[in-house]
Amino acid sequence: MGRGALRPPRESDKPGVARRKRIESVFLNIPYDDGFEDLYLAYIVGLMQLGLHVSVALAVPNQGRLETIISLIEKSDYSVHDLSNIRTTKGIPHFNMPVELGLALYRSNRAKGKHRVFVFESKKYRTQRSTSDINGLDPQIHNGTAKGVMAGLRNIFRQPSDATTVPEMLASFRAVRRGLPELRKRSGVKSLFEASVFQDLTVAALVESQKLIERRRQVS
Amino acid sequence: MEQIVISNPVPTPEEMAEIIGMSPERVVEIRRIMDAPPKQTAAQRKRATTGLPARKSNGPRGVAAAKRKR
Repeated sequence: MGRGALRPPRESDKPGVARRKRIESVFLNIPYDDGFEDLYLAYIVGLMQLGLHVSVALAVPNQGRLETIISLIEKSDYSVHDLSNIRTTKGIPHFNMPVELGLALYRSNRAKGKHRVFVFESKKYRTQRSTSDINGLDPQIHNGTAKGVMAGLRNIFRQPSDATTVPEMLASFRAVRRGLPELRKRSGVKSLFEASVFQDLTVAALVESQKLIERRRQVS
Repeated sequence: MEQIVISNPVPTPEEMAEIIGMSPERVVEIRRIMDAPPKQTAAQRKRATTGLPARKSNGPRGVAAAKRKR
């Protein structure tokens, strides 16, 4: 649409309705494994508290799953891929993480760097051996801890005021973890890797974020 | 590595709920859960009521130690 061209009125044009600013988004590619729950929670809390919107491929049926993942990557500004969970089932390795990383790398290449890709690992130098094609990506090493995930996220992203610190993020992570039994109960599911719990977790992380912002306001 | 500066402010829970299609009632419920004081463990409850440190109930005090001496 050219400058000065007419466009249909939007909801946000109505008086009293503020136009919402676009929120930058991250596609989070992690294993949906019960042993990974803590790190999953750390990623959600960390990313939300940095002001990002998180997309995950949860509750997507196998049919059309690939298209959904491609669409989520296309809509995201960044993607975070955790390659730390190397496991096999009856001797068969799981390749979904590297496949999704490949899709994101292709997207980044086509979008001329507008989509940025980040890799997380638990052990130093392992990606250099397991996925040598991405040697230029410099993975963040989290050592399998929530603190490591938060530190890695803070290495990559920051807010203009450099506000949220790793200890603050960790405090929020612990607070959300304390609320997990109740959140699970309310959703009627056991696993955290369900779409309804994921939504609750994102909002719970922001509730904690708001408390932090309030505390900072009171101090200053 | 160059850091990425996030240009948008952190959204409020209500703003995020609107984006993801969550009802305002659900947001209120999540706020209630997150604002609830952490549940006390049995040991913490005992300490709060008696003022004494909680101890594992392994029989009358001193009996186990006396047996070990024998």
